[in-house]
Amino acid sequence: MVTPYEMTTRLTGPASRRSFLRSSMATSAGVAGMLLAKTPPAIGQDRELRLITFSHFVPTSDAELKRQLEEFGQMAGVKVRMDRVAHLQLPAVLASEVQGQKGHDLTALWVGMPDLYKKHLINLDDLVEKVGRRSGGMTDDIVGRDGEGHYRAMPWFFISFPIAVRTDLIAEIGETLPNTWEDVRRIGMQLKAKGHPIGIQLSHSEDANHILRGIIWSWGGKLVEEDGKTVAINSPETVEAYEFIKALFNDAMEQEVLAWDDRNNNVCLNSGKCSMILNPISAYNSARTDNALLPGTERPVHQVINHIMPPAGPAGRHMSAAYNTIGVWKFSKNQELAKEFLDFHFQKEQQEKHLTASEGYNQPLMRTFSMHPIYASNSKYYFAPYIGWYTHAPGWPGTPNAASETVWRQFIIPDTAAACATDRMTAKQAVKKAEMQMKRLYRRHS
Amino acid sequence: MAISNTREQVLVGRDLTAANRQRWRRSLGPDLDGYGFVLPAVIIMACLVVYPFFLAIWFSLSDAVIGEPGQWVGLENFMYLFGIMYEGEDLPWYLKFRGFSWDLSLADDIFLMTLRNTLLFAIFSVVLKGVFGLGAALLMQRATKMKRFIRGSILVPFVAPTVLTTLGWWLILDPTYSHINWLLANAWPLNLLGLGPYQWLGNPNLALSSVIFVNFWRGMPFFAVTIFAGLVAIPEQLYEAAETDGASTLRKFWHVTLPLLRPVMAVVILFSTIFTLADFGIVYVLTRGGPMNYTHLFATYSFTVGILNQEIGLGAAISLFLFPILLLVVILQLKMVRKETGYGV
Amino acid sequence: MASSAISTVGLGARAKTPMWRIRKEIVTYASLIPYLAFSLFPLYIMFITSLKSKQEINNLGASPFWATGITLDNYVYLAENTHFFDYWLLNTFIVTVVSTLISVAVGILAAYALARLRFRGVEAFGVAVFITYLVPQALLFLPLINVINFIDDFIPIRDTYWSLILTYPTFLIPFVTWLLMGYFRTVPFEVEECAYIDGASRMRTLVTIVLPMALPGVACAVLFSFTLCWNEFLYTLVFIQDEIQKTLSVGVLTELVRGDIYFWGSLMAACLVGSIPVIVIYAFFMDYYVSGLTAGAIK
Repeated sequence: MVTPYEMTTRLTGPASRRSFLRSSMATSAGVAGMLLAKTPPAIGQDRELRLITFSHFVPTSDAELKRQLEEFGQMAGVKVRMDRVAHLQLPAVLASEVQGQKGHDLTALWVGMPDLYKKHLINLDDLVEKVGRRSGGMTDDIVGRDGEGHYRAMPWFFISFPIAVRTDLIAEIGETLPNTWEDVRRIGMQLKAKGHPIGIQLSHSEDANHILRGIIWSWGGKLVEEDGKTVAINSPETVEAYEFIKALFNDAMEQEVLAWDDRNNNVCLNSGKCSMILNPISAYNSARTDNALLPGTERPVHQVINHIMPPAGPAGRHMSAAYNTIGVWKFSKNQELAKEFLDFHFQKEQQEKHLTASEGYNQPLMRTFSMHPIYASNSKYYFAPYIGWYTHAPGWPGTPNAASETVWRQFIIPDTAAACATDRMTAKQAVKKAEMQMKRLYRRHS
Repeated sequence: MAISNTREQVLVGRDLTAANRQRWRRSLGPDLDGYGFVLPAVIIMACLVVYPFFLAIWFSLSDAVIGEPGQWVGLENFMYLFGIMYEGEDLPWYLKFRGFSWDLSLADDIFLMTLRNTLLFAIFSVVLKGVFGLGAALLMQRATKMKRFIRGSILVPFVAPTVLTTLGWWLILDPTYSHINWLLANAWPLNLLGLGPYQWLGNPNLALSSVIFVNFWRGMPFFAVTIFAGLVAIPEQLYEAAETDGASTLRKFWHVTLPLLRPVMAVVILFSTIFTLADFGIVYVLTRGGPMNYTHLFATYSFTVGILNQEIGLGAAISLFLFPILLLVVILQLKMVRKETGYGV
Repeated sequence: MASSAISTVGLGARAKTPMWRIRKEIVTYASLIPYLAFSLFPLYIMFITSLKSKQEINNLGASPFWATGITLDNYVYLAENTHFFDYWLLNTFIVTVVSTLISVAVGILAAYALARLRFRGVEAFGVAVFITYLVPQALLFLPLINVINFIDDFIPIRDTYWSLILTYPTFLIPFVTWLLMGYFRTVPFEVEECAYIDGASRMRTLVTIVLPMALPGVACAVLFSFTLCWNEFLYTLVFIQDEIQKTLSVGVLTELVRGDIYFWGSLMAACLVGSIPVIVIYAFFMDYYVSGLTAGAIK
């Protein structure tokens, strides 16, 4: 049995004393305080804290997370293990863990999952409150909550969708960077004529789900009411948004967007073909690391890419974002330890390291961290600290829940939008069909 | 079981139990050790197939979600898929009957698409595999030089890991890279035709065709090699006899080769149908069910519903639809095999 | 294509001149070319892509069928940044070999019983084997999670490749049994009878008399099981999360598909390296496979 005192000394051992002291000074409550206040867990080397996450788009981000986990493991005197699965395979793996009630302690979750798995995740209200208080609050209110408003997961980071735009092409036709969706369409029309279409997926892809929701919101439409239960997609605003998507597709895009998945728009931009895409900064980052060149020139693509805010529609500027959360399974035997790790991970110092390692890809929900030096390090990240004002989680304006997750997974919005864009249905019919499908799913989940 | 006889009971008296046991034992057959031989297989299949299978049936009759056992809901999952409901609220009277209402427009339209896709997918790809597999088998029989290379190469699609080769096809069909479109645009003389670019995975019908094509690519070798094995087994004398009767090549093929290949064909079609109907990897990698659900198959849709949306109950109901279809195919096929050759299973 | 081949079946004795033979050969090999091209095309694409640099892959104007700057970077990346060579390849091999052995052993016993022995319920068992083959994997993997977790309470197999070794036989045994049953029926019974008369036990007869005669069938079953195991994806995807326990297909997808970034070059390199072992094995045992199918699958 280890006493609280020993625990503290172990925590502030020679290897980590300095960093630890700094971090505990910087934050109002550090690991030590927390550990002192509670009875320490029965520690032995046979205990293992295990975390599962998806393979991050930026490998160094995974490496940093692993380093933090190991550092924490050393301090707490437990073994640690971090496993990764491919991004699209995370849901399957989580399903198998929950079905078996066995597996990891900590788990990365997507936005609808805290509600989906609310019976299997421990309540993190107190931890979110504590971390939130010392980090200046969150930029989003609904992420990580279940239907009753309890936090089932810690809001972790979000991956936003700015426009990545080829500034050189826009300058060539004497335009300015687009501010509204109408600008996007006008500029896109001209650039498509020159062989540089814009690229927004209308397919079974995550990006399509995000962007099309953003467009609907920007026109004043919404998928559901604020209660998160009443389907409200069938409105004149949504129909207009669908009409716009159709016009945008016909005027400024190519047929291939109907088959794109999340990676195709990156390729399209980095190969010098696309003039604009809506995508996280991964396109820019990979152009930089791969040193992609504009075709026929020696000019790196990343030099001529810039990011701007998602465009505004008649009802303002709204965009969806991939919110990631991290939770603790109820079946975990190391719940307290897992919470301590979260507390440790959400200290300013560790958070900043994690953000740095992700090369600006992760964006924090905690206000204090959003002014991170990395966003100042590259002028192309300037949008990052502010884009949180315009982004919402997919269930918005309701909380993300099982029904909204199902609507997402069955790609109802992209499919109906694609049907409308390819003239299989009128905008009205498409919206009506989406409404029917959504009503069916919401009825089932109510 | 032996039924005990009263007179015997009286006569045999105390040997009764022993006699019964013996009779019972005899009724089990002469080779009692047979039970020992099948025991390992029975245990494995019972634990890892039969039990999970019944569990899946239970799931389909319950509202189970991931991690929760669920409650018995009867056929509600199946009713949901077809749009049958208990007393639809605002339906016209002619859609309501006996406490139920049936409005196909309320059915799970993705499921209906899945049904359509799976049937098209299976029929087309099995037919393609059959026709071209037969062709490949005939050619393999005739090619005497470089035998090993030719047979090996034809088998490659079947033996290389499916998911990985499908990734290769993805690169070939990919909307951005599309090697085929590149050929159509840049390679002489194809570029003169002015075709393309085609949306191999973006156009609904082309996407289904692409998925069928990749499945065909993967499954054809199985047909080729098995039919080839069947060809080898046809006795040469039959051809010689036909030749002395002055039969033409086509007639020989029609009257000797095909009838004798019938049992092989039946078996290989059966197996291929099973593989094809249950295919998962190709669609999972290539299209994820898109565009507009025109390529969802039972396996992928039940994966989406059962795993991604956590509704195991509904997911199991969807994949159970596969079972009667398969059973039907099997019964038909077995009837055919039995009739043709007298061999049974 | 079939018709061109048919025309070469034989035009009767009068046509069998040397000229005719040459023509027949030409027609046969010419018709084989599209088949071979069709079969090998994706492999060729994988090979070429695996030798390209990232810039070249992303250069949409460049020919996808030829690499200009050949680089081995993709293979190096595979070796250095993933567990491809040190774990995944080995895991796949172990899982494949062990579950093939288990399935073939169990299958031999069951098939022998079905083919030769007479006991009550043997037909029912035959039908049952067949029906289990119809149960799609997509339906089984969820309930199987429960089974694996139950076993895990006694023997820790969850999240290790032992769970695969345990579950792969479910889709192998029915096929192996069915194939071998057909094969055993072709083995003449008289030889066995002699052995019995000499007082050999059933097991001994099976091992020393029947199996050697059924060797092609067994080889065929082994090869077939090997292929199915090597290709399996769904079970591994759901059952294994530990990075160093993964098999090829799943490991490759996890490590080389990162959200919206695909490491195409390394993916294709992995596909190629992952395919080669099976192809080599087939090249060696092809004849067994064919003769095994000849007798087994048909009867």
